[in-house]
Amino acid sequence: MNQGPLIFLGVFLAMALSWYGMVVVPHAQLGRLQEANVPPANARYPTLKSGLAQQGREVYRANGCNYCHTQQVRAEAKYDVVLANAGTNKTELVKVILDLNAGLSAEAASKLADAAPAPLARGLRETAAADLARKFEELKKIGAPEAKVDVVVRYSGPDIQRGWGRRHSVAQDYLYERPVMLGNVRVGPDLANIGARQPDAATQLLHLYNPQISAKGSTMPPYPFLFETRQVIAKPSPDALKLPGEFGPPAGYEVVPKPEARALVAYLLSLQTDASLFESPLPLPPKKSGAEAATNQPPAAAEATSQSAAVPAFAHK
Amino acid sequence: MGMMKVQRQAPESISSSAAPVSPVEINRSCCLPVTLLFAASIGWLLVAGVLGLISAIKLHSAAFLSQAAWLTYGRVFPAYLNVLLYGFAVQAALGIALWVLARLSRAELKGSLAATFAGLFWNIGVFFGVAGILAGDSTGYLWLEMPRYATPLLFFSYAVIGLSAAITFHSRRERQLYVSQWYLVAALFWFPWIYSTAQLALVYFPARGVVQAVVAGWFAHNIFTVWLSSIALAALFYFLPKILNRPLHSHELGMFGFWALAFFGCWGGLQLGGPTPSWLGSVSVAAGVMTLIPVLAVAINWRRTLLTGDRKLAPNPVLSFFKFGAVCYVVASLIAIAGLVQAPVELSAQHKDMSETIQLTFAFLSRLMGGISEVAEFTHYASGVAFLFLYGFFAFVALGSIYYIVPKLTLCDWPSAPLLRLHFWSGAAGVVLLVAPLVLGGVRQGAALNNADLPFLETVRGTIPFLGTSTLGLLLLFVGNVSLAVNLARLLARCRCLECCGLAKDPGTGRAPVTVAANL
Ligand code: HEC
Repeated sequence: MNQGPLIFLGVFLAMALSWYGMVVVPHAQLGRLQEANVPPANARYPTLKSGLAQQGREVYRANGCNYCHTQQVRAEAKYDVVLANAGTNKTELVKVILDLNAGLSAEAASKLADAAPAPLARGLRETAAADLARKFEELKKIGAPEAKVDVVVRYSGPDIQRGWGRRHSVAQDYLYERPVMLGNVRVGPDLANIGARQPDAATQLLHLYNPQISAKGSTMPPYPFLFETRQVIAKPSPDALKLPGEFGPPAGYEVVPKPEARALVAYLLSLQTDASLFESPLPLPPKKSGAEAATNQPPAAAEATSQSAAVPAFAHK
Repeated sequence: MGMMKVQRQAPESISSSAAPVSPVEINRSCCLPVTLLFAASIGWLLVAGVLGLISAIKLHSAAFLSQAAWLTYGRVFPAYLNVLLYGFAVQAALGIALWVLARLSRAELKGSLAATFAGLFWNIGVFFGVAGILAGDSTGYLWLEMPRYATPLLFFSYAVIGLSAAITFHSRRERQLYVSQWYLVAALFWFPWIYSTAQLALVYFPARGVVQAVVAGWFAHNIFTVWLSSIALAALFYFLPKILNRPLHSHELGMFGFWALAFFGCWGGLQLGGPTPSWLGSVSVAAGVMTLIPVLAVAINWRRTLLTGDRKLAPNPVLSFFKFGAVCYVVASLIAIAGLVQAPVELSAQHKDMSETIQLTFAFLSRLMGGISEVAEFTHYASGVAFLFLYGFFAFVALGSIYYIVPKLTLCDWPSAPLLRLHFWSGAAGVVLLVAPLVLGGVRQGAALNNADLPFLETVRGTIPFLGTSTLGLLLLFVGNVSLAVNLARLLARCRCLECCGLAKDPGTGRAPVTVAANL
């Protein structure tokens, strides 16, 4: 029996299926992704990087920073449904609350209505939260039209706690990246948001010149070849690195960043995923006080996450 | 005696239409291209050893060789991976494929000279590709770093070699097909497809945004799980019965395993929870778990083949290479799957439509794996799996094949048996010392990363003893590979292979290849 054609056809089918499913379909699904309008003021996101930052991406690629650093924040989104405004008809509102949550005692429901803004439900998935909000809208029509709920997102997970970002990364964030360097090992911290975390170019340059300066025991390699050590002629250059004694060049010499180092830092500073997207909204910033602000105020837990997201840069030191 | 063994051992019954070509003729037709591919692949294996050691040392001693740009970790490491994959693995795999295919087809290798030249050009391509990575021209995609001026050379060299294999297969004298041929034909056909797709979608007409990551992940998964696996499995299916001198346990089980790999193996390479579409992650995980089926199918088949029949076998060092490789295949697949399966809660919540049986399977498996996946991501765990696959499974099978095939091609025995044994033992110890710390250290690293109270530098410090141990493993592997290179150099220096390839007249030294005949 000649099974040659059989193998060939079978293998062709198996492979074509995988090729279609894992290459063609994703391409059709995402290949035409466009810039999105993001709040506030309908800004476009993402925007093209500046020329210098684009050169910096080439430096990042050429020197393989992506073999130690990821550029993707992982987080689990949880949704709270918050009673933002109790309106005027409290008895009706209590009824609505009891309708939505049969497990609640009348007393607890009444307390909740008094406490607004207060969470009706916490930690839901996106669809469940939206369902609940929709149901509330329907029920309240009868007797408590002014009552209002908000759906508030918060994120959890170690990446958020480490301050690596405020939301999880999504496809939109990489629209103009080429190459896309998501990375798959975290020898070093995630850099998706390093521009927001450490916006100071001088600090970044020092760290690149020798990570031991700011992170003793770091396994990140130094990048002396991105800098030039040269003799000081007449007066020191304003660009020269301010190196602590033991890392400094010999007397009469100074260390200045080469154009590659500047470009790389421009790229690092451009790494910020701070737009609030439909598929990955930013949690609301914690507002301290004020009656108006209170309508948008997220529950206490969200406040906690937002605050831990503001952990100071280079916090691991 | 050798001849007889070959005849009886051909794992399928003889039902040829045309008269089969004698093994001696076939070996002669393969001699030049296959010896070249093997010798060059071993050369690159040594280069990979050096680059691998440099990058491994850098990972725990950052200041080591940090002055020059071309020696920075982010260049040496991808150069290392590419030398290992394209210089050693793909090249050795091509050599094995040509020889096994010709032998099973009972036909001479067609286009042998063209394949030889293509082999030369392949090596030129690898050289420029690796030099390009070191010069900073990497493309930035894992396992596909070679720059665009090197890859067309690789592609066309491959095409010529693949064509030579295809014509050989087409003109086979033996109509009955054996499992190994299925694997080989599938693999030979799959590489140009995935490689050209990856090159076009990443380098020549780059896809938008994360589609690049999808394509690169798909390629990386396929080149290992389908391509390299297929060739090594073909070799195992060919050599295990042959060396043991008994038939394969079950031909049907072999075919079942083949189809299961063809249909489940090519879906994969993406993670759940990343910025790529989440359905791709779920498909990858599901298919990844399903590859358990082909892995178990081949494992059972080999085990039965090994355990039936005459147990009194003279210890055979070459057989040890195949056995070790087979065990590593199963272990690597299991650890890879353990790293994939996520907690059932998350899965079920994300995919309400997923059928209940699949969910239950996931639940069972993830309990079995003890939630490794939750900590394995973004750690050295994945490199541990990749190295176990490459060094433990693929390299051991490929090196075993080289030990088996080269004497037949060159009509010369391996000059030193102790070196061969040294290779096995230091290689096997090297694999264990390299992989175990990466996998265990990876789990520890992941737990540390997930504990946000731990300062980041602590997660780095915790990995250092593990990385140090795995550097020792690489050193042992290097020692083993050097002993092979020495053995091969001595063999080539004293063999009369130019003559046996038909390139030179018998110089009349009068030294007949006696040992070879006894060894065939
Ligand atoms: C061998 C692995 C490795 C490589 C390669 C590497 N890094 Fe790092 N990186 C680390 C480690 C470990 C840390 C954490 C300790 C520290 O701050 O030095 C780190 C920290 C950083 C930080 C500070 C992050 C934070 O959260 O404060 C930045 C910025 C950075 N790296 C940028 C780069 C750039 C740019 C490159 C490429 C030129 C690069 N790294 C290459 C390992 C690496």
